[in-house]
This record gives sequence, C-alpha cells and structure tokens, in this order.
Amino acid sequence: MNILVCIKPVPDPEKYGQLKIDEKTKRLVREGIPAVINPADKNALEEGIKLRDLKGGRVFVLAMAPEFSRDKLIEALAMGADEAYLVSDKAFGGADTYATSYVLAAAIKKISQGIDPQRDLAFDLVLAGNESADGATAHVPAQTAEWLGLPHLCKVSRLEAGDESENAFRAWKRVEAGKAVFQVNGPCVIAVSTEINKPRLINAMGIIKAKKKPLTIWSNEDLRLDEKTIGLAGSPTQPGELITPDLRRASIDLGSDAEAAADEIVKIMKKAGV
Amino acid sequence: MKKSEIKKVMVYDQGLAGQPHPSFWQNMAKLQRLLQGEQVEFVRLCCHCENPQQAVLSIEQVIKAESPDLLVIAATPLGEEVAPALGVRLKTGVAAHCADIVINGEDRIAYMVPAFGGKVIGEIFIPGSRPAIATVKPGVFSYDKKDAADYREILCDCISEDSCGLRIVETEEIAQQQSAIEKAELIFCGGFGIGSKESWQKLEALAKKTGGGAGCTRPVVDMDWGPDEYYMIGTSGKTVRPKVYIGFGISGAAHHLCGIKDADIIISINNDKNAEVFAASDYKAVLDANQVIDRLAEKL
Repeated sequence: MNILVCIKPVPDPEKYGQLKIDEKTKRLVREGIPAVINPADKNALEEGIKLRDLKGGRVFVLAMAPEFSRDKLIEALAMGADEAYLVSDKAFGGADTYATSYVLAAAIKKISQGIDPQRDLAFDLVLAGNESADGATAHVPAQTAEWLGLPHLCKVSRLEAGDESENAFRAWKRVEAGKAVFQVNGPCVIAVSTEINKPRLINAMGIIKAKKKPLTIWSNEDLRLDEKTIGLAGSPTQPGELITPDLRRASIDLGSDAEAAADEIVKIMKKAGV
Repeated sequence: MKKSEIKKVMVYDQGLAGQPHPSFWQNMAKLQRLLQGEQVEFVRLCCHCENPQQAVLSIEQVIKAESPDLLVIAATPLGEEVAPALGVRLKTGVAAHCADIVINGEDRIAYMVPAFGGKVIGEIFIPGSRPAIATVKPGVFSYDKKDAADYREILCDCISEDSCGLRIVETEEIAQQQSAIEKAELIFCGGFGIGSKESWQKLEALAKKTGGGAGCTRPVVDMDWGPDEYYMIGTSGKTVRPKVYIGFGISGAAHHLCGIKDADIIISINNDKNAEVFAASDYKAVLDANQVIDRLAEKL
C-alpha cells in the first residue's frame, strides 16, 4: 500500500502567546518562534506508518514550504517515512488554501508518475492532519482531494484498511447525530484529528536512517504550473487587516481558600440565576 | 465585494425541510441584520443529505443555477467538509470559521477569520469570484426569533448515494447528551490541569446535578479522559455563551478564549498563578482545580 502524507511546518503553537502585530506594518511578528511539524500532521504520519507496517508498501511525505523547512521533512523521515518531497518556490508564496491545495495536488500527481506512470494515481491513500495550528481552516485535505477527483473525509478519529480486494477504508467520525462509520473507496484523502493516535517519538536510529532516505526538492520549474494559478495571484481569498481581540476582564481574586472560593462561586451562580 | 454589489445571499441548511438547523436561523438573521435596507434576495438552500459527498454533488448544481453572491455554511462536521469542496468545484474562495461578518469602513464585506489559535483575527476578502463562501461555527451569531424576515426556500433534490465513493455504513446515535453546551446557561469546563478521567467525570456529575453542561479543551480530548471533540470549546470546537462559565485547570490558550468570550461571567480556577486565562476572567482563584470541584460538589 502506497501512502502519501501531507505535512506542514508551522510556527510552534505552544508559543502563539508571543505573537504580536507590528503597529506600523500591521503584519504579524513571528520572529523567534521555531517551526515544528503541524501537530495533527504528525498524527497523520503515525497513522500512515502504522498502516504501512501492517499492509506493506511505502510512506511518502510531501510539504509545500520554504526551503529552510527541509529539516522538518528529515524529521518525518526519522519518524519512519520512506521518501520525502518538498515543493518550494517564491511563486507559491501568499497562497490561500485553494492555491495551496492546487500545488499539492500537482505535486502528488508528479510523484505518482515517478512511481508508476501507468496508474492514474500510484497512491492508495493520502493522509493529512485535519487542520494546521496556524491557519486552522481545515480546508486543504478536502480541496486537495477535489483537485485530484478523489473522495475525502475530514476529522477522522479512527481508520482501518479493508481487505486488499476491497480497496476501501473504514473511517470513524463524529457527526451531528452521533458517531458514524464511513466506507471510503480508495484512493481517497483522509484528514485525521489528533485523537486518532499518539505519534511516536524520534529515536537516534531513526535519525541515522533518515540521512540515507531520498529527499527531493522541486520548484515550479519542475511542476510547471501557470503563475496565475499559484501563490497570491492564484488565491481567490485576499487577506486584509489583522486585529488582536481584547479579551481582558476584571480578574477579581476569590482568595486562596478552596472552601471560601467555592462559597463565593455558589453566590455568583445564584446571583446570575443559574 | 462592495455591500451594494450583493444581490443574492444563500444560506445552506442541512436541516429537514420544515425543521431548519438552529445554525440556519443564526446565520440568516445575522445576514439580514447586516444587509438591512439593501435590495437583497435571501435564499435558504435546504439539503438534508448526511453524506458529505452526496451533499456536495447535490447542492453544487443548485448553487451554479442560482449564482448567489454570498454563500454561508454552518461549520458543523458536515459543513466543514462541504464548504472547501465547493470552493474548488465552483472556483471560488472560502473563509473558514468566521468570528464575524462585517461591512468595513470602505463599504466592503469582510469575513473576520481567526488565525494562530484565535490570537489574531484577520479580514478576509473574496473580491473576484462568486459566491464568496464563509463557514460559521454554530453559536457564533446569537439568534432572537424576532430577527427572522422573509426568505425564499429551495428544497434540493438529492442525488443517489450510489454515485459516491463515500458511504455512511453505520451510525451510532448518542443517547440524549446532557452536554448540549451551546445552549447551557452554566458550563463547567475542564482543561489539562484537571489531570484525570475521574475529574472529568466529576465535572459531568456537577453539570448533571445543576442542569448545566460540561465542556473541555483539546488536551482533555487527546489525553483520553472521556470526552470527544464534541465537548470541546474553542475555535476548533464549540462557541458558547452561558450566563456563568467556570473553568478548571485551564491555561487560557487563545483558541479556547475565543470560544468563551461571549459568556456573561467567566470564573477560572488554576493553581498556576501565571495562567493566561486569569486576565480574561471576571473572577479567579489560584487553587487546585480538584479541591474546588470537590467543594462545589458538596455545596451544589
């Protein structure tokens, strides 16, 4: 089973408290915040590795990011992926989810061609984290699937591959009415939520092995996409001004005695009528 | 898009024909308030397909035929799958999880979208393509029945599930949840600091006893202490507006604060005196969350 996992390097979500908006430029200042693999994408990678170990095959990782993000792909290889692809070009910059997913879909097709030019798609499954910690739109998995003409399902909390003959997956997802089990025909795109598993830690052996695994970097000279369809120019949404919401409240101290604090809380509740 | 260019506004509703989803009223009322006095036609597109692929294929044709200027979709588990798919199919932009929809100083419609876990909110414009799609989490807009004005209703003919590569094979209904937290007037919310499954159960018991709701933050879901994402409050979970919200062991990440900012009273208990949640609270106590949970259980 060939599995492709999309990952995104993002500024470390643990440090979003440090983000500020520059008063003059109105841009977000993110200096000093290190990049990490988007948390949910690590869950996607873990799920891909587990499925490969169960069913055989290879795990490919793909990211669209600046070239300095190379080390995040090496991290993915150290976790257990077999091959990595980084698509990187200034022309991809400023892309919204529409233009980003367009590039990802083009890269997936090109990787697939390299594996098996006879097949429409050489992957049985494309995995991704449900949403990125920074933009958090949760659009990219579904949109990548649409560009590829594949079925998709997001927010999956459990995944099982069917028998080889079936070429289908069973995916569990919380829906409005309760919990639903979906059958999704492969190839398909599945976006996983962080509940699905606990991503493995990287060990020294993984790091040594990662250095010998193939990592390919492509620019738009390789993908050859029309400049009008990528980056800011290819994005139907355009960003405007940023604001930081002011959520400050009075912060009255209820004291350091649990008994007295609980009494106060009960009083506040009664006064509010609940 | 300038306000004056908006001629047709569509709200997609996954509810049944005679039984709109609560979020439909919220979104429709908000749009009608926003565009009051303008010559705008409002349309309810009703499609009750629960299979997201079937829903996309069914409503795509209707949207193409109607060509609305704005299309608003509730960010339910279904809507979150449908909206981005429609974006690609209709070659248009989608603004995710809007915290607000406004007409800005230049008379342009702006979708206000949180990023970096709600730390910032940015304007998103969709200038060149139609419809300009937005998703809105249920509960973001309040609804008072008085707001509801006229709209035209379109009942969608659902295509057969046979043409879908995706099928629902089993649905396990969840028995009457005590935690309809969007509607609760009192919420007990647990964060990483509650520390265990037992503590989550205590919060649920408190909620049950008082007729309130129990909610949580992301770590509680990921630690497997009981609740699933359905109980999660924040930008990627629910937006709540209770009279009283009591948070236990919550650090105060921006994405959670975004989901509780409309609460009348926010009370926070955390043993970390530097917890960010305190600044955003009306009342605070630097105490062990579990001690206060136990005291409250005795008193309520």
